[in-house]
Order: sequence, then C-alpha cells, then structure tokens
Amino acid sequence: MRLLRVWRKLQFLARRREFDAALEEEMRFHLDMAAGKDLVAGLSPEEARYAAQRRFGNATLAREASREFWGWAWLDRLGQDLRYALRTLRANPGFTTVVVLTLALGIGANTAVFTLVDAVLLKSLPVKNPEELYVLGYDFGQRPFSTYQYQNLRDRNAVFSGVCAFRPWRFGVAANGPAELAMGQLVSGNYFSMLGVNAVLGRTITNEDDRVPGANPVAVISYGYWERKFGRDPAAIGRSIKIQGRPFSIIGVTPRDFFGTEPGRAVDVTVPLMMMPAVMPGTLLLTERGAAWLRLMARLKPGVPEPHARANLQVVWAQILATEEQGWRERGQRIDLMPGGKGLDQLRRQFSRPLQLLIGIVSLVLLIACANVAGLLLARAAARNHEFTVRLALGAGRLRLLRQLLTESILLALLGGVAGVALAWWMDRVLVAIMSRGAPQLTLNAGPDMRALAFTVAVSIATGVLFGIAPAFRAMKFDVNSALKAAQPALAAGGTRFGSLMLVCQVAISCLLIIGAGLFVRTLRNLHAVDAGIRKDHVLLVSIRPGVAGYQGAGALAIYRNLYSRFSGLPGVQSVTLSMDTPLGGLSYGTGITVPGRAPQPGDHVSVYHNFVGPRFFETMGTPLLAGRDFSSRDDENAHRTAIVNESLARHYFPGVNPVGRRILLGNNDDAEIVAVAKDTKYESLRGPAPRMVYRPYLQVNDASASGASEEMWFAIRTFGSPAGLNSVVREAVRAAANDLPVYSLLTLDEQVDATLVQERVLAILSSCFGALALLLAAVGLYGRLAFAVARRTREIGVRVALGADPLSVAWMVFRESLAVVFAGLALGTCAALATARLIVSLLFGMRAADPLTYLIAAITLVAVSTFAAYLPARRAARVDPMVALRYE
Amino acid sequence: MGRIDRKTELVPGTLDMLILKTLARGPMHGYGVAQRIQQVSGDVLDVGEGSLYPALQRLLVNGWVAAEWGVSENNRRARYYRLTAAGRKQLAVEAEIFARVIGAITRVMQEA
Repeated sequence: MRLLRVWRKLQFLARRREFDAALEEEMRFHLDMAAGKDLVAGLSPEEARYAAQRRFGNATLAREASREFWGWAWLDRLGQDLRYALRTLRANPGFTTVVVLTLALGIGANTAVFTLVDAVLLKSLPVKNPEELYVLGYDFGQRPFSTYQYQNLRDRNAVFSGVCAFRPWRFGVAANGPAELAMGQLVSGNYFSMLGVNAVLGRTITNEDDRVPGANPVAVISYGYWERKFGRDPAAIGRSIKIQGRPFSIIGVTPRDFFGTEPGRAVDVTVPLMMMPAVMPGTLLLTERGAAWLRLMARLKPGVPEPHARANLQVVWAQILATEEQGWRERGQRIDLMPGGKGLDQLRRQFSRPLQLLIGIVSLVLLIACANVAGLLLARAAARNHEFTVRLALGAGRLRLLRQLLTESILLALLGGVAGVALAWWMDRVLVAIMSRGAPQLTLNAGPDMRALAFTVAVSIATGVLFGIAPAFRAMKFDVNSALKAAQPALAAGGTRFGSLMLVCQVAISCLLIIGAGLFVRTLRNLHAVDAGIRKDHVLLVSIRPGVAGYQGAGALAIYRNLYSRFSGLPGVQSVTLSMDTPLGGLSYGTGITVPGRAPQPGDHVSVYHNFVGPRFFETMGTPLLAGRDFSSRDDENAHRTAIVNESLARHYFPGVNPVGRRILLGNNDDAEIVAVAKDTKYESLRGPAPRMVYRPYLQVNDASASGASEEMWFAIRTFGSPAGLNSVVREAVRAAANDLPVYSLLTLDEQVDATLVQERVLAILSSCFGALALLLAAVGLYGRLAFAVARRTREIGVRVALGADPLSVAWMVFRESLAVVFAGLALGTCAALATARLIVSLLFGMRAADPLTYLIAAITLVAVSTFAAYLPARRAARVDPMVALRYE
Repeated sequence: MGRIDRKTELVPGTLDMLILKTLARGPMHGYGVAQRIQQVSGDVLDVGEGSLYPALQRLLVNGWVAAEWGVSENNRRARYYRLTAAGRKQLAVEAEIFARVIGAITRVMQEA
C-alpha cells in the first residue's frame, strides 16, 4: 500500500504541470456549473458568477491543499527557497561577492591547514590495520638495530604476528637515462606482507627474494615513479634498471597512495635487504654484528594486550643483549614499543607544534570572517525590513521566513566553501613549498581528500547556520504593524549591542594575532642575527659518498684529493675545502678528550665533537682563527697528529692559557698537538651554545677510531659570484673524476642555515599573513558598521548641523563610537595574549613572551588601521547637508 | 446548515466516507458529488469546494478512487471519479467504524 502511494506520488512529480492544468480546469468547470445553477435560480449572470466565486472560497488555498497530498511538500519548499535565495544573491552582486570572498578565505584557510595537519599528524599509513603496527626503538628513540638483533627479535618473540625491517637510502638509479638519485629503501622479505600492501601490477618482495645475500636483484617501484619514468607502461614489469650501476629487474608496482612508512619521505625504489652489498657497497652493514642500520616495525598478534607485548619484548631483548658486547648493553637496556600506525615520526616531531598553533590561528580567522558576514547580513536584513513586513502581512509563516533566511545563509556558506576549496588547494602548495625550503625532498601527498572535503562541507554549513541565525531571529521578532507604519524603520537597541560585541571580539582577535605575528617575526629576525661563527653567503656545499661507488679507505682519500684539485680549478672559485660536518648541518662524531696533567673537572662530561676538515676550512667558512695556523697539505696521513680546538673547548680545558702547542689525548689515547684556536661555530642549531669542537685534518681520518668517517665528505666552495651557478660544472667535475659517483647533495650554505629555521619561518610567514587578514577583516567590519550607523542617523545628523553643530564635532561623534570599540578590543586582545603567552614561549628566541615593544607596535598598528577605517564614514557625516537630510525619508 | 469545510468539520473524517459512498453509485465528476451529497442530506450537508477537491486528491493518492476525463451532460470536459476495489473495501471499513461510533454516542445521549 505504502509503495503504491509512493509510486503514485512519483508519477505526480513527473507530470506536475499537467496536474496543475487539470486541476485548474476541473475547478473552473465546477465554478461554471455552480454559476449555472444560480442562474437557474434566478440570479443575473454576473451575480451568479460572483456568488459562485465567493462560495468557492480561497481557490488558491484549495489548489495548494490539493497539491500538498501529492507532492513531497518539504522538497517543494526547499526548491522554492533555493531559487529565491539564488535570485536574491544575484540581485546584489557586490554584497554576494564580498561575503563569498570573506567566507572563502576563512573556510579555505581552515581546509588547507586541516589537510596539512591530516597528512602530517593524523593520517594513518595506507596499510592494513595500521592500529596494530608498532615501531621498535631503544634508548628513548626510534634508533636502528643490527641484522643480528632484528633476526633474533623476529624469531624469538611470542607476541607479534610479524616483525619487518627496513632501511631508507638514496641510490643512484638509471631507469631511462643517466643515473639520478632516487629515494629508496631496503626491506626485509616480509615487509610488504606484514603491512598488507599488495602490488597493483606484478608482485611485491617476498621472503624468497630475501634469503641469500646478493642472489635476487629485484626491485619494486612506487606508483608515482612508474608514472614519471615509465608513463604507466605495463611492460615496465620485467624491465631492467641499474641501481648503483648494477642491473636490477622490476617485479612490481605499489598502489598509488602507498609511500612507505615515513610521512614526508615518499619512497620510489624498494629492494630486498639481502641486496645491500650491491646497493651500499663498501659497507658491511648486513653482516657486521655491531652495525646498527635497520628500523623495525612489528604487528601485534590480535588479542594480545599491549602491556603484555611490552613485557615479552623486554624479556627477549634482555636475552639478546646478554649475548652482545658491553657497549650495547650500556646504551639500550630498555626497548620501546611505540605506536606505528602513522609511521615514523620525524616529520611530526618537527612540525607538530607549529601546525597545532596554526589550527588555532585559522580557526580564529574563520570566526572573524563569520562575525563579519553576520554583521553584513544583519545590516542587509535591516534594509530588507520592508520586504519582510509585506511578506508577513501577506500571510507567510514566521517559521517559513526563518527557514528561507537560513537557506540563504547556508547557500552563501556553501558557495564560500566551494571557493574555499580552490583556495585551499593553492594554499597547500604554498605551505608545502615554505616548509620544504632547504629540507631535502619533503613530499606530502597533501591533495584535497575525502576527509578534508567532508570537513570543509561541515565547516561551511556550521558557518552558514552560525551567521545566519542572528539576522533570521531579528527578522522574526518583527512587529508588522509598526514597521509598516514607520517611515524609517528603527533598529532595535538589542541589535546594535550585539553588533558592538562582535566587533569588539573581532578587534580583540586581530590584536591577538598581530601580537603573535610580531613575536614570531622578531624571533626569526633574532635568529637570523645570531652569530653562527661563519660567513654563510657565497658558499656551495657538495656532498660526496665514495663508498656508494665502491671506493674505500685509501681509494676514497684519493677521490677526495682529486675532487679538491678539480674544484679548485673551476672558474669563479675563491677557495675550496672539505669537511665531515658542516656548520648547521649537524654533528656526527664525538668522543671525549683528556688533557695530560689535568685533573678531571665538573663540566667535563659535556660532549666534545670531532670534525675532520681539509686545508682552508676556516678561511672558506669565514671562521677566524684566534691563534695559531690553519691546517695545510703537510698535515697528511704521514705527519704527526695535529688538532685545532675552538674557543669553548679552550676556555674549559685550558682556562687562561694559550693552548697552541699543547697536547691533548683523543679517544683511543692518540695524542695530537694543538696548532690553532678557532672562533666558536654553531653546528646543530642557531639556538643554544656552540659545541666544543676538535678539528682534525681529513687526511688523518683513517687512523682515527671514527669508523666510517670516510663515508661522506662535504666539499665547501666559496665563490665570487652566485654559488648556485656552479651547480652544473660541479656535477661535471665529479663525473669526470669518477664516472659512477653521483653527487649526493648539492646546496648552498645559506640554504642549509635556512633549513634549520623552517619552523620559525613557517610561523612568522603564516602568522603575519593571517594576522594581516584578520586585521583587514576587522577593519572592513568596523567600516561597515560605522557607515551603516551614519546612514541610519542621517536625519539626526542633519538636525544637529541645522541647529548649528560644527561638522568637525559631528565627525568626532561618529569617530568616538569606533574608539570605544577599538580600545575595548585592544584591551581584550592584549589580555588574551598575555594569558596565552605561556603556550608559545618555547617557540620564541631572544625575547620574553610579554615583550613590551611588540605589544606596543601591535597596539599602534591596530589604532592606525581603525582610524583609517573610521575616516571615511566620519567624513561623510561631516559632509551631511542638512537640507537634503531633513527632506529625505 | 452545517458547512463541512476544513475549519469547522462537525464530524471529522467523514467527508472521505461520504464521497466514497456517493461514488459507489457510479462514476461522477466533482461537482456532481457535491450536489448529490447536498441533495441526499436534505441540504444539511454542504460540501465546500475548498474541502472537496483536497479530499478527492487524498482519495486519489491513497488509490481509493481513480479519475478519468470524460464529457459532462452539457458537453464540457470534466473529470470523472470512480470507486476502485480498494476504495470499496475502505468504504466498508469506514462505514463500520462510523456506525459503531454513532451508536455509542447515541447510547450516551439516550441514557441521560
């Protein structure tokens, strides 16, 4: 029965117009018949007709009532509302544009930041059941394990359904042309099966491929790589590519959204662990007992509680440690199980704070945008008074009116949302670009996805309801009679108060954001001004890893010598040097030193780092030597050991004396003579003190106990002109020196230093942009309100002027209104800033969170902008011509 | 004279039943139904057009009557309604309920 009803109703929908015409005709027939009857009864034709029509009652209502049974009334009404709303919006293009743009900015910013936050903080890896995955680590970090440890952990635990190992690496891959550096990784045979990732073409690496070292040169490539290099050709399977010069065959392609296990680092080429000797030649990581090179992830067996797993893991680890050397036991007693559903957290750690702050900022911006739009709609609602009263008088229900206004608001919000999505897409690219500067290869799949889209829609609708309600309620509280009678409908006092409150909030929020922006910008400037102990302009850094092409020990040193002379001969080069570590590039090797004849002192435990450098290091880096001489080519592997120390080390170990000429004992009791003292240089970050450094000649590196010290060297080339201009000739020179040796990294010292300031830069740029946006919105809001007030009070102003008021005082009267709002907002915003100062203290540098100068600048900016916003309306008020004002209704 | 229309329906819900009963005699157009009810009730029940047509639509939606276009007595196009099998069943049901209710009311009134 119900179904038939619905079926009949559907038929109605299809033939609506016929239905209407039919009903019309039917009623007319009825009317005529009734008139005919009256005619018979003796009335004149006109009277009869008139009587019939009177009897007929409200024909329209009857028709509507009839239709109601057929239609889905709510659908009809919705359609009507939408059409009316669209018409209204199109009739006021200026208003619509301003509102949609304002909303687009607010909603777009929120969507952009949410997409980023999702990709970095929230999104789980695109694998099966990511909540069951854990990352293993020890020593309070996600530190790497050795092959021996991995195999034992894998085989002896009782709580994991699988433990896999992987190692990120960058290899030189020749796919369809010369070798290029690609993001890669080596994985254990069970990696893909444990993660539950299947190939979209071909197959993935299995345990079979990972059994015998060097036996299976197979590779799995990513979807993106397949697209870029092979144009999605299905014949790519089986093709041979050269990795590090050795042939590998492609066996499969991973799904489009799989990027590996580290967000921000999309892996392109994956090979089995057992192929390590081919891919990372010259290293013995696979077989060497003490080599920690693998990251481990594990999947918990279903039904095993986490604490149980931790306990079991600890037991197994203790057993393994018992068979290891002393050094291991000291380092990592405690093995950790960290949730791995989101992958390794390198990226998260770096950007977590700024992103959270960002969410707060854009939410506030959205609030301001909503407040602005609400204000605009309120003003327009006041202008539509007449329309509302007429409709109410004609019999429209109040609820209907309310519903229609809400539909309008939501439509506006949805339009703003659509525009916002486009804006968000653009904003995301900009954000990722800002975040990537200097950082190697930050790849975020930050495209608009379903969640972001759903988020946007939800935010749009919520915004629509939020700013639509106020005007809708105002429209409902209408007194029809008085409104129709009054010549100029008066604005209820309540409305003005609400508007003022919103404006104060807007100003307060802008104030807060401007203060924040000021703090972050000044932090960035302070950091830029830090003396890092170097001159970072005009230096090109080139990283070379001879081990990658098979050069070892003496062979590696020969390569370095070769490259040193080649680079020195390049045009536009002022000086060349090489070193193991570069300023602001991090430190790799540290070991304690002792001074013969000096008793141990408190403060000796602070790490001393070693850097192996070539001749002219200090000259190229721009670090002055405070005493003594630089290394020369005479400080080679045959000379006796020399060292250069920096100020901090000299101050602590040789207080008050000149250390030049003294001897120190290095790690394994090798002694070295100090030949110079260098100025302090920052190596890890611009914040914090410079580390204590011992510089050694690079030619003396092999006899040091730093294993793998010849693994990688950074060449630094100081140029006369732009350093980046040397990129191609440097690559040429490297290729000429050794054909199969790729350039591992190439960047300028400037970029490297900048890379350490990514967080601060992101915060400074974004908080400034959003702060400015907030200020603009607040100014627009202020202007709108004042303009409206002036328009409303034109008559009153006219009267005043006619009575002899000075135009200046009239302008001041208008201006005074804004002042109250601005100062209230300023006070509120400043208090809010002071209250939340604690939250951002860790992000600042060189200043307190309650820095008075910043607050003062923010206040001045705010007052200046609001004065500017108030200027035009005030001027208009002063110009009011009483004759016109008094006559105009 | 009791006017049966939406605002002051004396016995709610009976309009449907009256229309169905009228149509049980044979197909009729809207005006005819109204006239018939008025006649048979002795001018007591005057069905207003404002409630007749909505009621007819309701009956149509529920499938108790079916409508067709035809030619009236005076050669004009008119829409004729006729009772369907389902409508007949519905009529019986409503008549029974009505009789029960009326009987009950009558008993109460007679008792006093």
